[in-house]
Amino acid sequence: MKVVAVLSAIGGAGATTIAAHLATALHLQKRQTLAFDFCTENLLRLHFGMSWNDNGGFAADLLQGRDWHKSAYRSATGVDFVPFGQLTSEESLDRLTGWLKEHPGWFRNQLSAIQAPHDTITICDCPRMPAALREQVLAAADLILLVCSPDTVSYASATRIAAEVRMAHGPSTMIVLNGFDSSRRLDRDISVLLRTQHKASLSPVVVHRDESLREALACKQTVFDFAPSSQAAYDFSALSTWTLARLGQEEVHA
Amino acid sequence: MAQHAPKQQAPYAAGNDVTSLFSHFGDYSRRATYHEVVRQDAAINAACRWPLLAEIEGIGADPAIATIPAAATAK
Repeated sequence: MKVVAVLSAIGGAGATTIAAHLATALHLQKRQTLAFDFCTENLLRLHFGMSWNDNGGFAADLLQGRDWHKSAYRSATGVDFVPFGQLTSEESLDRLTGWLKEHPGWFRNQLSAIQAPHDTITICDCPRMPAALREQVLAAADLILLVCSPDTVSYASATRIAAEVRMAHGPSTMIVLNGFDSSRRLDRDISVLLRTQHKASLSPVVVHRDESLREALACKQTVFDFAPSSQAAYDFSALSTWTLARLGQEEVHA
Repeated sequence: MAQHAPKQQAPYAAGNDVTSLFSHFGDYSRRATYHEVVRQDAAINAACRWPLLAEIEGIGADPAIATIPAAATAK
């Protein structure tokens, strides 16, 4: 099993949107895929059409000693996903992060134990904080997709995180520029800097700004259902193809 | 009727950009170097348009808008 961690450089860069669409694109390319939400905001599920009022997810199951596998769902498109779920209090989150700190390899071990085809790809919506949740995902990851919006702070944060992971000999980390609009000068300049100064850690696939994405989420769908001919659908198909190739490279180098 | 004399062609002179390119990469037969120089110039231009980007890239800070520690202003 391969694990891809999708991590936002700063809040709102679009990691959840990318994780949901990458998982769906891989599924549509007939790859066995599992989407896993480690973010306490619990939003990944909405892209897959889950009810707003359904609070199910693995976090509460884990705290209450229940089997978290029962928190897995399947979207109308056929994508299997595990939501984070709704925790009832801050105290519950503290208990969860405390437990995860004491069991640093928990997620990696759980994925290894799943009876799934060996070529299954798990796409994780990875939070920046709390660190205990983030570290669970990064410890299992074969590839980190670092989502960068075309703004200055996101660029600074993404390039810094990529350098830090490289220095720490962490998993292969690639920056994905998300929400790019070529009619905006700052977007073009950020793109130039990424392509010139950080070429080795930049995904060649750019996700363009596309109103279809916001509208699709408002309709509880991905763009593959809502607007299959959109630029976003094209971009995510390309991103999934590139991700598969990249995971293949990682396997060769391992 | 008086004929307008044709405009005299200016002798060829290398523009500043060409001159700077020669100074950048010297041996014009090395195309890879040329591409690298062009990319580097594009990156510097991109960063210099935005003071925060320029700071991040280590190209320079705008002293006019730099902050100073509050303690330094205490009387």
